[in-house]
Amino acid sequence: MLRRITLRNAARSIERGSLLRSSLRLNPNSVPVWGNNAGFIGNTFQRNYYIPPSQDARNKRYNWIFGLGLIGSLSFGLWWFYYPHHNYPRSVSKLLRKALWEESDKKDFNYQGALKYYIEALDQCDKIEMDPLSDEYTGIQLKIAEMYEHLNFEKEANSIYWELVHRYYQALNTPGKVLEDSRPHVVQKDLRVLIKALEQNDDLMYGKKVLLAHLLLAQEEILSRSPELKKYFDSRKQDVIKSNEKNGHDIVVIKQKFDPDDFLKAIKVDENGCMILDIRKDSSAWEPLKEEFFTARDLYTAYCLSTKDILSALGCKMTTVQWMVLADMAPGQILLSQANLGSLLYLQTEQVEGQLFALNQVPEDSRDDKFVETVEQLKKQREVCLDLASRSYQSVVTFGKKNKKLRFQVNDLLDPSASQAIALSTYGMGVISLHRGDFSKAERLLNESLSLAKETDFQELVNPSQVELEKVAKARANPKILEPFPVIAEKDPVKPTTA
Amino acid sequence: MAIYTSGTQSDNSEPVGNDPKFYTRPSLGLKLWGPLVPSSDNTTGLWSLVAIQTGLGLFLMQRFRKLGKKWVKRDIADFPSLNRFSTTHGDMYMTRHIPVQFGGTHSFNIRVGTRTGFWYSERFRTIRRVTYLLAGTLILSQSMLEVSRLTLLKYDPWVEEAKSVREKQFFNDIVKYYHEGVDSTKFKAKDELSGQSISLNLPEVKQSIAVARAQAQAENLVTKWFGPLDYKPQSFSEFLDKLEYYLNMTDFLNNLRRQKKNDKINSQLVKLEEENKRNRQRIHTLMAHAPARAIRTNQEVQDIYAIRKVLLHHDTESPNDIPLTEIWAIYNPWTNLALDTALSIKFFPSVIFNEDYYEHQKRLKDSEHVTSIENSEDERKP
Repeated sequence: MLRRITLRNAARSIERGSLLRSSLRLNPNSVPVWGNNAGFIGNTFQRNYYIPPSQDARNKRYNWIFGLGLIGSLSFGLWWFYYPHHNYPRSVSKLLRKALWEESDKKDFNYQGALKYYIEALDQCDKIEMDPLSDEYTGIQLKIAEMYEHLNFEKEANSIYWELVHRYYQALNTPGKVLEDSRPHVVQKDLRVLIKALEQNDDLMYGKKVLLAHLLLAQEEILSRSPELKKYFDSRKQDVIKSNEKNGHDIVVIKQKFDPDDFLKAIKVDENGCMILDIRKDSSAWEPLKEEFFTARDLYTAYCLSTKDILSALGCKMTTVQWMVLADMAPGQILLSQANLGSLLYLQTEQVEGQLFALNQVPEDSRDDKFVETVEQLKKQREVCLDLASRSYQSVVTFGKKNKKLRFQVNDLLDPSASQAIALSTYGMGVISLHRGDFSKAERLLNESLSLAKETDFQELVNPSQVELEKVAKARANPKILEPFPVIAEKDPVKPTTA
Repeated sequence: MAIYTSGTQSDNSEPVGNDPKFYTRPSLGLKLWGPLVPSSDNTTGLWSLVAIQTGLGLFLMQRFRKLGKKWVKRDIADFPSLNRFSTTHGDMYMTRHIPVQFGGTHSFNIRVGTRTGFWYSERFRTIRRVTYLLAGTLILSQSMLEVSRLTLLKYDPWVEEAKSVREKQFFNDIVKYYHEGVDSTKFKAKDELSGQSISLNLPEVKQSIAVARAQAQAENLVTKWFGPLDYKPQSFSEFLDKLEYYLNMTDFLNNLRRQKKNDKINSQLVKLEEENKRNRQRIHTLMAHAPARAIRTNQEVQDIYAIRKVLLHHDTESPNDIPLTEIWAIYNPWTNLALDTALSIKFFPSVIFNEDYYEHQKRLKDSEHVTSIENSEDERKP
């Protein structure tokens, strides 16, 4: 077939060629008029009068030049806009090239020399008054900080990060300083530097305060684009009003509103059982800063815990899980968050138990009505928290069991956080079982989590699992050590069942 | 495809997943192009269509203008009655003549204008003019609309949506290709260093192949122009609602920000800036005067940053050969920082025995047992 076509085409072209030739041969006298000049010369022999050069021809030539210029400038403009090129002026780029040269393998990673040039480049930027908020300027600052770290100037490096943090914060809080359309980007950078700066931070309270301020800023940014988030805030406001009316405790209200199984329903699974993102869900308001935002929130949760503020940590984490669903985060991240939420709920349970334990020390005769009421409240809280914790864990484990990809290809996943979440949840359920005194279940779950942790290379979980397994053995030998409240425990519904 | 629900695996009540319908991409003034309209985040495509459309509009307007000219420029040589004894070239202005039956100089010149009938009548010419004018105005105003959308809007819900959908699709593609695996009869992977072929079932290999395939999918011309094919862009009214919401909200937030006092942060910033400047000067003199490699490097940091060591192409011979754009993009400090700060935080609870309670309360203060901050590459204890 192909051959026939090519043959026919060839024949056709030969035909055409011969036609052309014959047409040329047939009209030997006809002079092809290429331009007016030729016509002019040709005509002078036949007619003896003057024909002024046509205006049109000159116009045409000018048009041609004009068109060429237009196309040239247009293509230059397109190149300028779309071809990736660095935005450094020549004086700075020269220094940067030198710095990169020193930093590279060519000079065997000479950070000392590189740092010198980077500092000079930054000074040059200052001299030509480059915008200190631009990515070019801050990029050099980050490079300097990195060199500082290489050369043991950690304190100085950290100070650069803090300078950036404050500069962004100030700019973002001054309307008009950052262009409206680049705000999300600047907020993203701000959070990134902040997380880095907090790595070396020792002052917990200060860190918590700064984190909160910056998180609020990011939240505002998302809020300005996301009507869904506004709805969320409005409904929460209603809840707070309601809970104030009832004069009840937060945790009870949370329980009514909070269903751990709900979140995981939002995770989309395709026909092969892979967890994917929902294209139909509009989560554009959270872009591009959602990764940084949720990391910062998790960090804030950790800070809350470190400052013994478990209730804030818990509230923060609950909101985080809900928002992660809104923002359509990667499914593994949502699962991990859910597992972490279970841990926090369990911690809250323990804290309440600690309070109960302390109350238990109060001598019998000084217990009044108020005391009894407080104890009742705390016990209720304890139950709610423990129940929620186990449900959170359970939902993750159930999700993992139902999903064949997660179940059979534990180690074969792009994103390890999903399998880590399942291992962590199994572990958490084991801990809860132990807490409730169900030793055989606890042992089975903890062993399972240990093997999962080893299988998925989740090193951090190996040690805790082993420690808890030892505790199971210890508690088996002496179940008494599990009973937290020797006196109040008589009325306790969650008494150890097996002994 | 199915939505995951707690009980049933597949829920068919909602048409989800591979909906074969293609939805036209939204635009304000490119309606003319129908399904050809590019995805909203494809600025190049949008601008090109606007340019072509504007060109068309200008062409129509020019036709309108040409047709309506009272005076026509003609070459004198075109009129035989004026060139009886010689051929004279030169422009001559004349009115658009109504065909004359007989007599006058024009009657010698049997030309376009002299034809009769409806298609050559004055009325048809007017109709044509009006049509040109209407079409031109319509097209130009549409272009204006689109141009103003492209230039004036600080926040464009359609663009944001298209961008986020593109990224989600990229993620989904990676997941899909990863699980699909690679046909080992068609592809082979080779180790760059040893030259030996590697198994395609290694997670690392599978992952990089999946990423490469997803990237190819994203670079595909159709996807580049339209974005992921099977998503439904939000409607115009949603677009307007979002825009209005955004404008109100930013206004409100900016008013709040104006009332805020930033004195403390300002003074802190100035202090830090000065301190860093002094540090820079001090360290710069140190770097310039210390003998080469006299300053000890931090081995720990070196290990952490091992993957981002700058490696130049082997034929780079001097600093001037460095393609800065490219190298700066590969070793972009901001991207590196993003990798640095991708933490994954996990909390491990642990059972407390009653004899430990006093100790536990003390431990809660330090909370050593609760947090473990793990970096994506390395493990750090807080």
